[in-house]
Amino acid sequence: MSASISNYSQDKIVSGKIARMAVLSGAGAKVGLNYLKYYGRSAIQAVNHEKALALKEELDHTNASTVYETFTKLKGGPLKVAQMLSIDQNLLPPAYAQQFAQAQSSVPPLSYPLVAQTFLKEFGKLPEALFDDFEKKAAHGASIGQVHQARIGNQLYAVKIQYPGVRESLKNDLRLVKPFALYLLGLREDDIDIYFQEIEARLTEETDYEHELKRATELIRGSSHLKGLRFPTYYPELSSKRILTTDWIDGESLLTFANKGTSQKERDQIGQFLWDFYHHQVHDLLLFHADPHPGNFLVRDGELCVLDFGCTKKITSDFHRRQFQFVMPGVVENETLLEEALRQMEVILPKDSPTQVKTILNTARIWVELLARPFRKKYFDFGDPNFLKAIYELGEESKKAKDLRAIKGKRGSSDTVYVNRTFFGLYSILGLLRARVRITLPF
Amino acid sequence: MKKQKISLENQLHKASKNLTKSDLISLFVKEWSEEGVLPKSVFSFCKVAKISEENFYSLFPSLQAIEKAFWKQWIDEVIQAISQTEAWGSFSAKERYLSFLFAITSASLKYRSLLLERLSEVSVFSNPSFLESLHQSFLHFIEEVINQGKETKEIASRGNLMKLYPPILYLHFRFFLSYFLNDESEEYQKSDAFIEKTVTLAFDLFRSQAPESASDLIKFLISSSGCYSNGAKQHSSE
Repeated sequence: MSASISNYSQDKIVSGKIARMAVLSGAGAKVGLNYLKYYGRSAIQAVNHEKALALKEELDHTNASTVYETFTKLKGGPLKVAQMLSIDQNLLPPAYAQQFAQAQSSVPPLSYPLVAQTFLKEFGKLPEALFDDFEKKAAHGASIGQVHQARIGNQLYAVKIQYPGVRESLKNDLRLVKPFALYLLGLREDDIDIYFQEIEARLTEETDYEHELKRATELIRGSSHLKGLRFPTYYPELSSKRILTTDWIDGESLLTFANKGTSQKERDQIGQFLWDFYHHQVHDLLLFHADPHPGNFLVRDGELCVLDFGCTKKITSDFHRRQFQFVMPGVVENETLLEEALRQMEVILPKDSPTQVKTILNTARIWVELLARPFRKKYFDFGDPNFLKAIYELGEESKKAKDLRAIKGKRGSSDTVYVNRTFFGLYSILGLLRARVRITLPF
Repeated sequence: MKKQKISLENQLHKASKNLTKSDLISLFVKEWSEEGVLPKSVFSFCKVAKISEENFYSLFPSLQAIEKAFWKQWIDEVIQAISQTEAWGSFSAKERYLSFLFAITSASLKYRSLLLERLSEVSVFSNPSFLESLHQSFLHFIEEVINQGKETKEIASRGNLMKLYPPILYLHFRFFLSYFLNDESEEYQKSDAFIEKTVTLAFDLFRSQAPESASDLIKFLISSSGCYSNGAKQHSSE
């Protein structure tokens, strides 16, 4: 049973704290019911293992569409959280991830008078005064804004306009979403607290288009020498806190590109551009596009176009050294090295008992092995379905692990959240491209 | 800004005999804004404004009349300005009402403290006398908007019921003003969202059959309320 998204009308904007709360509770209840159905059914039927698995998958599908529907009703913050969780797929079973990934699709458009009002507030001028042509209807929605096409002479522009009040409703949205995220994903508050603080910080940055423009300019300048990449030009004179203007870029979505019978060589090429781009950002610039999501890229004339620098992350060289020692050869295999690395990341704390250290080590070893697996090879084939599947399944496993849940306290650095997210996102996209990539090591 | 004011005053002094109504309104608002309270009497106002009472009474019968004229002029100017924009001709009824409210937000900034003084204590359901002329201007404007919507089928035809739309939208306008005056968000972004969401809902209701279906259901439930109580009786007696 694959619930189709297009069946859901997304034009129900829910405003007001109470209404949001009600909608979210609704989702919680629905998911609860679906689980009840599942456990009820599996209790009645003496099911064999295969059947049970199929049933579980169906359940995940049902729940995922319920949750997705709920998130799209809310716009703004929760929609971002949905997108965020969809990319950190280790947190989600595949069915959830699939549904969340569609959270990109458009939300109800703003009226043209409101767009004009925003222009007046930001520039003191109407859109028609700044552009020769300005499409009154939005071309597509974004999570916290919408994009209009505009023209001056022969040049086409993409003008992103932010929904009013997004910044203010963000904190509330996140506070509301948190208990449900904990419940739906089976996480402990301690685990997710640093996660939410990071999300809040990054999301607040995303509502500031001036910040995006600054970071985009910095990243594009720093990466301009890389082969096979194309970046939009940003126009500061046509941008402000809530309006952001870039070139209009046409191209093929990654999904279309990967599935229209493109040759392995072409897919490898695009995959390699992507890998090299991330290698350069993360390991050389220590500043990276932390939203590697299929919707943020296009392919055109064999080049990879990178769109939307709303979510970027800066790390220190000290953090970089501690974080990426895990992927270096020899660390996973050597218990002493692994423990030392985990202590440096404060995943193992000084007060932990030897048993606790052992539990953490055992889990971490499996995780690190999987995440670092591409780095073990000279060439890695991301088209291997077993690789991503192994990651999802591990996420499920560690959610259930009771002895791991018993280990409390805030662990690890909040910076890890976006590094993980970036690498999972990167792996997913490369998986989508079924690309075989030449691997480069961080040090 | 300051320079302009000074030159305006000079002009007024030179040609004090040829004061127009709108000159007098400007003087009135200037005096009101500077003192932070409404001018108390025609005598004191004329003294500060350096005009003769004769001159004043030839234009307005009372200070209250000036204030009424001021609020009317305020929204008349907004309506005039938006209806002269390029996009106006292509706007739907909903878009026209939206632009009116957004333009009012911008035009309110100058008079926000006066609005706060006048409206913060007033219920949105009351009709204070100083808003009487503004009320008339608003109704006139909104009737045109509704007629346009009716012609383009953007608003469903509902016979006599439609006479209620202008007063309903006036009430909405007053709610908006009250929301706006309490809004402390950055650049009044919440007011923008309030306008967008409430107007969308209102025009959705004007267009769709939902209100008819609702009233049909209510009528049905009322007329069949007998069934309910009978049913309950039967049930309890069984």
